[in-house]
Amino acid sequence: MSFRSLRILDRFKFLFTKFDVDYSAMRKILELKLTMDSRRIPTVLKDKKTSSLDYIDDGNKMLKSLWMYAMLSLMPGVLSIMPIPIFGKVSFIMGISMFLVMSTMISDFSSVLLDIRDKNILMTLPVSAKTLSAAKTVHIIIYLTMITFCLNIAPLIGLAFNEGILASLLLLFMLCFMVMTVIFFTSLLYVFILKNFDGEKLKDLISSIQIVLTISITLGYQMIAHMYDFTDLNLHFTPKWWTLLLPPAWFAAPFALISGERSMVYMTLTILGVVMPILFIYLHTQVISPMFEQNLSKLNSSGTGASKAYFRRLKTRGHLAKLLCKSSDEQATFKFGYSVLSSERELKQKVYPSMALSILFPFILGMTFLEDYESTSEALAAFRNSKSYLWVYFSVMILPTIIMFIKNSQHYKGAWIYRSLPIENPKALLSGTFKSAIIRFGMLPYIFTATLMLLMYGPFVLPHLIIAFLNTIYLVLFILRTEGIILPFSRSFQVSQDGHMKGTMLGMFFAGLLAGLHYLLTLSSSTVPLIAVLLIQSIGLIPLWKNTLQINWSDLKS
Amino acid sequence: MQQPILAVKGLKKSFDTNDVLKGINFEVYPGQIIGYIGPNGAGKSTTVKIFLGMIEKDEGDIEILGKSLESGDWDYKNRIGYVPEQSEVYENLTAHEYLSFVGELYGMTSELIDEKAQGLMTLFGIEDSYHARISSYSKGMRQKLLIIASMIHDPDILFLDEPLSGLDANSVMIFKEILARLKARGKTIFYSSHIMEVVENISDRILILSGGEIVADGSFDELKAQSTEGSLQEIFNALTGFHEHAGIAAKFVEILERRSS
Repeated sequence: MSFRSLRILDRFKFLFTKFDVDYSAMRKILELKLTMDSRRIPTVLKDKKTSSLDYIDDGNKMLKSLWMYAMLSLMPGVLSIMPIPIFGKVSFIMGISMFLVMSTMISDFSSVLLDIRDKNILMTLPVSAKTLSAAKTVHIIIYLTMITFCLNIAPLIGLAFNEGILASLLLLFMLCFMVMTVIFFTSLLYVFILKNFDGEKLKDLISSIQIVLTISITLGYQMIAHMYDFTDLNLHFTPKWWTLLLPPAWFAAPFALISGERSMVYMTLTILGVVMPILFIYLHTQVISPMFEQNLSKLNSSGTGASKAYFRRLKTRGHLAKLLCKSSDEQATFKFGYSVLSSERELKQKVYPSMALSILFPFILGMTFLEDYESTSEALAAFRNSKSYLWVYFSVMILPTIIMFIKNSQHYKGAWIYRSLPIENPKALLSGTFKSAIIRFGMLPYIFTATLMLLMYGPFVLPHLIIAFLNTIYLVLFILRTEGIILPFSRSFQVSQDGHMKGTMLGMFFAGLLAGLHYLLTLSSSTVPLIAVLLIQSIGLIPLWKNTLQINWSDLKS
Repeated sequence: MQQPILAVKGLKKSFDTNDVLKGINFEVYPGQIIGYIGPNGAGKSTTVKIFLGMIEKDEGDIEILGKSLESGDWDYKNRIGYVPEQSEVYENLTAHEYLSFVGELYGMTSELIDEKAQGLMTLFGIEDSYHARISSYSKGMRQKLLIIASMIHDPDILFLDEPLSGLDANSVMIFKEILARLKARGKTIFYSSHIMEVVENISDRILILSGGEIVADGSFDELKAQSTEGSLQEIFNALTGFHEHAGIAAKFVEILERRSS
């Protein structure tokens, strides 16, 4: 496989040879690393359908994802052509860009930064330490250059049109300083965590950053539509002392200078913007990097001391199991399912963004009310008069998706254990894990939205909220019946992406349908139909649940 | 005559066109340690998985604990322990969480599970990790956990597939002694391994599986009497028709010595 970046690198061969780096060895290492990276799937592409076969094709996934990064740059791109003062504008762009570069670096390139596998392989080969560290540095630089450029392509073009080519070039220049700052802060963060905690904590952090990134990208897109509403916001900048602490302000200050606003504050900020990154990079190579390497070996270790929170969770789990499950087998699986669901990083990465969005959805929709009405009280009144409590469906809509995910686990090969245990049929196993999933992931968005609606509308919406919840459980059972049931945690995430899409689509479609039917119910002025539906649903739920899960080992979908 | 605790008659199993087991017959009596050996792919793990109901047999009769094994039977698993060859577990869980799940499904109370698990882990020297995630365990610790998980309910039959992998020499000694004591208490142990020395010195009886058939069945002394070879390793090679080891090794070294000209 040949990489364009390596061919460009070849022109600088003399530079490396001059510093005693074995260029051909370094190139080989880089080639291997880039090949391995090309088979990873970056967060921004995660939602796309992937099959294990895709790993074999030789297209570079990383490079393909550059298009996605370029798409992300639309957000700051729109900013760059808006009629706001240049200092505020560039501060904003820099802020967004720093956030995006840093979080992409943490979520997608942590494996590059934290690679200790290569130590085991490369350190045994006759290659000098100098060559190895050169390879590592070049590897990171190749990626940072590509991502930073792509994440800023739209603002670069936008600025060139709006403020002139000079501004665009200046942005490119300041981005380099920005990247230095990002490298420093990222490695500082890593060192801090590795020094004080263990590898598991760091991995948790990385996956939380991935979740935050996914949520903010989705919200960011929502924001683009509303962006022009902010034009009337006062972005005229009055410097306060704490502005000096904000790196985006440093990098935006030179733009104020070239636009003619020459003041002490902008001078100071500009100097900081040049001096600090250089200081950071110096500190990085001299202090942080060696500390980083020292602590890197802790990456795969995890403390043996269990935290208080862990024991508290065990207790809660036990109480919940007793409360919600009848048989002791079911209680055991409930606790087991709850633990697995709580500890699967990959699952959380997929589920948490949808959870967050389902909580935020009512607010996003609520914004349209605020836009349509002059005053807040008018908007509120209009809201109360509408049937917006049906938005609670957004919060329960994720249940079908979650149920589809339960068959997956990172350690799906551990599923042999079910068959070695004396379990008559999978009923208790399924019932316990499904309940644990509904409690673990489904209840929070529902309770949150339902409480909100109760506060807004008063107690009369309570039956509606309960019907919405019961409806979703019925929907889950319906999907399980039509799609077939697979043992919990017995499939890898890679293989079954297809099923998730299908589950999500089915879930959305039918949740919409149910919400529509529910709407018809609200049209009646009498409460009799409402109570009747609620009664029928409550009575029918448990028998249907039992009936759906009453299957034999041989009925499981393989 | 004692009743066999496990009896297999004409057991056959094929995957697609590959006949893995071509009619296996043997009987196992309580208090025996059976060494079940054979080359890679001979069908050892498949046999054990059929006993546990993880795979359906094609043909033949199996009797476990005096009862004929029908598809869908599950109660007998209360008296069986199993250590699989691949030590795959839900490693995001802590040992406590994993053992609780296993133990509670064996019908034990959580107090008893905690008491036994912590006691056993202490004896294996890994009690500090009871509340740590299994992903942080070394290979040996993980194996110890699997061994505990397979025995925590005090089963009558143990199916152990390569149970020593990753254990250090001292733990191996403890483990062998545990097996001897379990045997003395009338437990039956069905033991698969590639390490011939261990099989040779712990087994009462050795079954050699090759090409989907049992090619040898008897105590080590009986096998030695039938053969001209001295060690189990040599008997194994002779019975599984493998004689080329010297030739392959010679060629291997020859290729290593090649230099680019």
